[in-house]
Amino acid sequence: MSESDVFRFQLFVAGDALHSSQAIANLTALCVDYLPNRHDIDIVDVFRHPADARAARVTATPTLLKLSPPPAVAIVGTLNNTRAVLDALGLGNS
Amino acid sequence: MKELPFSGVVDAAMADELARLAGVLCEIDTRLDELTRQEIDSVVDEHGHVFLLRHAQTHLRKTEAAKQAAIINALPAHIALLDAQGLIVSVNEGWRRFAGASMLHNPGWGVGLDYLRICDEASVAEAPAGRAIGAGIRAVLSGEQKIFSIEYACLSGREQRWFLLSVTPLILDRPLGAVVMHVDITGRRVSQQNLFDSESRFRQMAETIDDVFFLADTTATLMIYVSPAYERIWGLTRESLYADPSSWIQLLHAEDRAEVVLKWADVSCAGFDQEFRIVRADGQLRWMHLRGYPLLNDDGVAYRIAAVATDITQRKVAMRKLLESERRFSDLLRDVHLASVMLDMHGTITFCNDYFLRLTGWEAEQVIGQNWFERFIPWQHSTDKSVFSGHLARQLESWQRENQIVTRSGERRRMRWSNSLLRSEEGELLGSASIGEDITEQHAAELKIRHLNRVYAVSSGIGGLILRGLDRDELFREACRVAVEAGGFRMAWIGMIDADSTCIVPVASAAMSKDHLQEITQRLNKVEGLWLGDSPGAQAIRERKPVVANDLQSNPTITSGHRYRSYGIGALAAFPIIVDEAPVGVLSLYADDADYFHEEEMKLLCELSSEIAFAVDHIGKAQKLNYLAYYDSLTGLANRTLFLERVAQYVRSAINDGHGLAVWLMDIERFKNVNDILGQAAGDMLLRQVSRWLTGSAGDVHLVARVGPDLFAVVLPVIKESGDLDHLVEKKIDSFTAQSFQINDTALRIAAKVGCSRFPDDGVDASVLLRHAEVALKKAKMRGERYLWYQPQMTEKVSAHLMLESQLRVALERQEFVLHYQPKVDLRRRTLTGAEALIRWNHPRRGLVAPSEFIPVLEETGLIHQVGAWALRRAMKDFLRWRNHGLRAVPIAVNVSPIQLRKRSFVEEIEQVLSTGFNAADGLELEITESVMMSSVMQTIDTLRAVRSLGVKIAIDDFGTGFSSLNYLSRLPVDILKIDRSFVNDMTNGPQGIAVVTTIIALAKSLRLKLVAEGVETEEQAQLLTEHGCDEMQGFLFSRDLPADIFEAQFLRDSTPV
Repeated sequence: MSESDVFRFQLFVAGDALHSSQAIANLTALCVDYLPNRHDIDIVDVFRHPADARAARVTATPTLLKLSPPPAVAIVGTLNNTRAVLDALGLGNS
Repeated sequence: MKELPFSGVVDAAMADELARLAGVLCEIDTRLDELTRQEIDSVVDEHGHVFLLRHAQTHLRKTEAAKQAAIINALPAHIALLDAQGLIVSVNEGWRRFAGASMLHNPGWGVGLDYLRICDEASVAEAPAGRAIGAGIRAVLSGEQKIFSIEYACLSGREQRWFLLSVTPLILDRPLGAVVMHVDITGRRVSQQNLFDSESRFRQMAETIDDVFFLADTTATLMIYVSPAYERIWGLTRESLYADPSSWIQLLHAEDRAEVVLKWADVSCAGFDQEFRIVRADGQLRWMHLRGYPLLNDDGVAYRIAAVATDITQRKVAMRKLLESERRFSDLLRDVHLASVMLDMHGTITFCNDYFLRLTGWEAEQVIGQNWFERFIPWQHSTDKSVFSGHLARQLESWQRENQIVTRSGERRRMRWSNSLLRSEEGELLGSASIGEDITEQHAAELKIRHLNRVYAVSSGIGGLILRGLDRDELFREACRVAVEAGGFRMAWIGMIDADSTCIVPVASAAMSKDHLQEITQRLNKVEGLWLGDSPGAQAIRERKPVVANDLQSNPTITSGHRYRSYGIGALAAFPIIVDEAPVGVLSLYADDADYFHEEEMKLLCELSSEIAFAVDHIGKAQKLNYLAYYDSLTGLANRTLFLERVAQYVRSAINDGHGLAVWLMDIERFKNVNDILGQAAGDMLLRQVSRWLTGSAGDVHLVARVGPDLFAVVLPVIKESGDLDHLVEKKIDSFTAQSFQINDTALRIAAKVGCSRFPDDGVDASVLLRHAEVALKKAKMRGERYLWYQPQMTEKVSAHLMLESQLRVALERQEFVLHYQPKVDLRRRTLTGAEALIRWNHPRRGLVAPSEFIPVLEETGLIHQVGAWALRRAMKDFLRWRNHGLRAVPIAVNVSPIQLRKRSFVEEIEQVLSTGFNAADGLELEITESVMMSSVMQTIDTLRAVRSLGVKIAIDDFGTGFSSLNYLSRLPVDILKIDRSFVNDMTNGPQGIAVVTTIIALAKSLRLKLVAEGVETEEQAQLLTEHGCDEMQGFLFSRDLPADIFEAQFLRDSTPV
């Protein structure tokens, strides 16, 4: 598997807050179903790492950043609409 | 710049602005929710400041608080939060219960109290560790120490309970206070204490346990014993400690040393219980927990210091991890090596920690939501569930329980659980929360020690008995006593097999009532025959291995289960006592507990029973040794050694008195046949009778000896020049031959050959006289004489025998053996039906040598195997050649020696011969002499059956000369019967002779056997045999045996008239 096949995500959350927890759960489930063995999730707690949030220009939590493969995509919300999220990630025909 | 509202004054304008901003905040919140469909928790400004939205804040606060409360409350540990001054701020459910059981007996469970003061003021009698605890908490609160922990005891009512107390600082951005946690470890402490009760156990445990054991004198200046674990933990040799008993202290961490030295000095009075660090030479740091205490004699005076040091490094590390966790209490659960599980009312698992998952090998999702009792409790332990329901029903706030759980891999772990009820904030019962310690290893070690201690005690006790050189019965009695007194076995007895009645007779016992012993004796006596019965003892003897019944009371196959119940016996084991590979008796041990005998105990006890066997053997041998050295055990006569000593004495007096003496050596003829045919027991009986006859005949038992298996020697101490010794020998031999010996209702007459030598003519030395008598005997056997006196040239003859043997070996290599064939013909038609192969030795100088001259030597030397195999191969080769060359290929009968038959690989040998040609079995018959076949019927039958199943026919040779009974004949796997030549010869000498042959023929016919008459020499004989229905004949009348080429030319070519 080449490096480009791996979906690298950054998920910005606010501690254990409800929506953040949902977003973590939704993203994990989605990766297991659609991107088995080819995903890499980095969860960033904005309380602990506010600088990271600023650097990534994240303005709200939960926010999902797709870092690779290009193009970069940012999705704000709980990610509970799987279909819409897949479309946004360019996995619409999966 | 506006005034901040801290002044306590809020002017109208400011209030307005606040109200407006609040409105804006609400609006922003609402707007953000609208924009994001209520899917975000927080917003982040360009500086990285995070603003949690209201709903998220509320949610977080609630869940966090609920989670913390639930977890803290559910922990079976007793937990209190102290503020920086040591005041109790809050406590969990466990603490509230604990308050009743500990020194913190206080109606308000202590909240709001100064915990430090409580510790400082605790009564020394009830809570001796109070001050130490207070000091420890202060150290943690002040930041001097990161953790503090201590194990302490306190009296609760009349019961002493042990606790592990640990104190960790509570730090967020600044020190806030401390968390105090007590865990009840009474169970563990009690079981540890119980283990150390005697010096002997101490030593035995020491070798098997990971802890270090020390045994020193009361001044602690002499180290008596230290266990091997010392070397591993301290990294120093044991010798170094024996040399310098205080050297273990030198490795102590500098901070701990002073205190340890101080307290250790007082160990013989106050004991010692201390944790400390050691720094090993290799830099490793280990935490040790050392407990020392004086061992008191009956007068209460200390006579030893015993100490045990446990490596608690791992526990310390775990504890430190546990205590260092800063963020949440739930972390406590994650890192600690304690399992934590929560169940709902139905036993469904609602929570478990990582340790539990690691322990059981399951994933969280495979555990949460499952039923605890179905997933983790072995089906045999169904009571666990009812106990659980019972506790819930009775609302018992907390309870402890040990049980077993099954891991994913099926392994069982023993757990000690502290359980408490789990309630909601409203107090509604939700289920249970449990913290469990994995005590599998600890438990197993305890059991092992307890059992092994007892077994070791027995073993060393009995080892000592053997050294004391007791007689057999004393040894047995003592062994039983030791098993009961030192070993803690309930009862013990030893039984020996009585050779006459073939039953087990108890010969020693301990702790058994008369009635019980009598009952066992009767039960053992009731059985008949060699079976010995089905008691465990009999089974052990029969199978030659120990028999264990660990479930006597419940095992339905143990017939006398009710008896054992009435005696309160739970388990028994029977060990065979095996001497010289034969079981001679049995050691039976009874234990109170069911399930007592496990692999380890059995191993030791087996060694023990072999030690007893060794002792029995040793005692028996010591008694016998003297006897065996000089006497023959079968006949009671002198053996060769003693005979030679006696002859030497007679020689001395013959020299003194100037007369001669003679030595006679007597060999029983065909004794081997008696042994082979009638069995060894009969042979032994015959030897005993012969020895009695000889003793009677010689008039003095001192003149007779048994010097070989069937060889007797007699010394005539005084012979006169004038005496007619030949006459004397002949007279003796005559009367011996006339004597009939009674063997199993059969009268047996036997012949003997005698070799004689004379002093001083044939030698002046006892051993030379005996050797020369042997030479004369050999010669007599060779020549067929009844007796011979030694002649100097005889020695040469004997060496000629040796020469023959070496020549035969060479003959085999040089292929000097040949097969001759004697034809067998159909009696009526006089046509060729087969051939008997006869082996001949074509000696380069002597020409053809008769088989009678060399076959016995072949058999004696084992060369018969090679030569016999050669004959089989040769015959098969000839047969196949005949067939391939279009000759009249008749089957060849090959003689097989009993020695060949006895060889295990004989059937394979035949198979191999048969594999050399297609349908080769058609060309091979085997001739076996009747006596051979009868001598070891069972073994021979199996071999012959196997050969016969290959298609090879079997003939009985020389029929009528052996001991065949008609009964046997029908069962033997044979096809052909050959009538011995002597019967054929006698046939024409009268009605008696013809009657024998007629009977044999009739018998063979009824068994559908083919009959061949051997040694037919006259036409008259052939006529008679034909008339009586004999099938074939062999003999000079038709043809003698011929070399293969002549046989072929005469009988096998079509042109030859047969």
